[in-house]
Amino acid sequence: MSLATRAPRVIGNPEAINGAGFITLDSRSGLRPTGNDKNYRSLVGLRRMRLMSFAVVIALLAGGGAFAMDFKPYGRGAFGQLTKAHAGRPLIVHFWSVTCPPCLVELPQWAKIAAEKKGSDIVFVNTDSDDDRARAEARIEKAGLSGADHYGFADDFVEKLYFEADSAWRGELPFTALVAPDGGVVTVTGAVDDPLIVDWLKKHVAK
Amino acid sequence: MKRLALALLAFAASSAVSAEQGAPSADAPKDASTPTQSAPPAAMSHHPAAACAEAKVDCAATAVPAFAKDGRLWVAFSVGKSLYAAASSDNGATFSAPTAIATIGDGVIDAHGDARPKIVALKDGTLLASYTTRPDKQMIGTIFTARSTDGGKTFSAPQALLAEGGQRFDSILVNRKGRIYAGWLDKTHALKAKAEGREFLGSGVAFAYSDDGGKTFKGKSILIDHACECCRMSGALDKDGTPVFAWRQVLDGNVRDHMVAKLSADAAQATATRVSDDDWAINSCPHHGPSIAIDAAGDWHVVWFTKGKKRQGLYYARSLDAGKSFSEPEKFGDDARAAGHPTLVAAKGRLYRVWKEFDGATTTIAMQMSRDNGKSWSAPRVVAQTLDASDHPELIAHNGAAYLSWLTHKEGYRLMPLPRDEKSAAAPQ
Repeated sequence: MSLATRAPRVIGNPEAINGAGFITLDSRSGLRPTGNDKNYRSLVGLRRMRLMSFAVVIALLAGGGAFAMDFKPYGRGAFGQLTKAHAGRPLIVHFWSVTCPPCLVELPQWAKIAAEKKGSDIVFVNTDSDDDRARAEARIEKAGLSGADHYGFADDFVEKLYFEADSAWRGELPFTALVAPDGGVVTVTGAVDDPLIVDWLKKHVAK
Repeated sequence: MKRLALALLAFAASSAVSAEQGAPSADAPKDASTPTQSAPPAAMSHHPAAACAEAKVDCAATAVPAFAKDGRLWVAFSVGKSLYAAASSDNGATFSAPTAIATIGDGVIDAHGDARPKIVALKDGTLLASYTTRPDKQMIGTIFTARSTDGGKTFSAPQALLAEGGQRFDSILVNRKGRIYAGWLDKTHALKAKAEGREFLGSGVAFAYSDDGGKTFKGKSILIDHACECCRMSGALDKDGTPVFAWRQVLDGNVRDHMVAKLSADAAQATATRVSDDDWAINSCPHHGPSIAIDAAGDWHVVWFTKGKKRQGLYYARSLDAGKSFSEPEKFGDDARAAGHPTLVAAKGRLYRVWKEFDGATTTIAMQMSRDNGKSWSAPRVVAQTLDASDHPELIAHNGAAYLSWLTHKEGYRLMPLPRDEKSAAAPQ
């Protein structure tokens, strides 16, 4: 049986809802809520272009052997241990998952930052379970991050792991904790080009 | 310049869709190992709260309950690479030996966070289980269903809902006439776009129905595009027996807010509206889907989590006109305690909402009850707590009563009846 063999079109009552407006659906075109799609696309384009302009190809540092990567276990207490171990130096802890498409899109940009910002320590934490670690390794290799410092979630008590990095974090990904040399922590949900990350890097990490 | 931007866009988009549909993967691994405290970063404590590896409910990371007509409580769950169903005749206190439904050769069974195996019980006693696998060599999911017509002693060989495309986050509902509706997030259009080098945000929202007890599903079709691919869908039956689904949508500007859609009886059309305009413009996976309930009067109730520009935290809104409009979102839960994973259920004139809170040490399930279709709610009351890892809370209604279903590492599986009157709902724990 194939999907989408029909193209049902559904027109709703055009009354505004909470100011959100009614949305006309069409099985092919998807949602097109009132108009500025074009602007949005060009905005996204420019943003991505800015990101991609960084993204030079980085040779894979490790070979393609299966399970070659060492994911250090990240359990409860890990965040504090990391900040302690890296005290006095700018530390970036980046959390990501193979089941998070935005995470995978931006991994190569993290490879670029890792290569450029030698003055900082960058630690990557894969939040998947052990079952998904082989995929995580493949993604790391693809992103050119084989040589980086990698941890993997190793505790079911994820609320605790989130809380230790940021008491307001509920598990959204990608998620980045920026730890200043004095221990001050700034956290960012989402894209690597977030102004908070850019400013923090400028402030704490020379090229 | 423009061409370059487009090329980069296409590259970025193809990277995005080659990802699996996002799962709340942040949840945990299962294998056991020896706990070590206060180890240095190079050997951080490994699995201090590891689930067991036996084929029993208490060893699973997630458990979704269903009541059968005979009063037995069924749960579907997975341990390792196997999927099981087990029944309880004493409301979850003890379970029969589980029935193995499937064991997969490679890959994973989705059983963390928002992605979880499920089971539904049909009027004639048939049990229908559903689960999603992600094989190692494949970056997309496949939803499988399996049926039991002998009271859960055996299940049919699992069959894929769709042979290709990539699907996850199914939601299955059965109406009084026995028609089964399925909704799920579907990557077919996203994969097509990738193959053509086009950008495509998120997944499609697809639906189907079955009139033969889940043996076959008809009318499989993607009716809406660009759902956020990282969160569960939630479904409830409207007064007329057709389902309404709620999910997180990727709207213009990468805004990840919520939509609801009522299906036509033949699942061929969906009338969708936006629940709120939280304006959570974020290029991320929230891993936090909404929940919908519909009460006997036909009013729709939705709860969700957002970190939008306009609202942050847990919110509730209701629609008295079958989704045409929603009330102003009302905040609940304690942000200072990382309130999350809200869900709600309607049971005989009462409406319940529960959610998870965490203060750094204790995870609690807070509850509020409404007896006036969501206009007012009882004071929040903690109905359960744990000091270690736990599943998201699930709510289930049966014979006019509502129950909290919660699986925790320390306490195992719990089914707790929720109060029926405001006085006991408001009483402290």
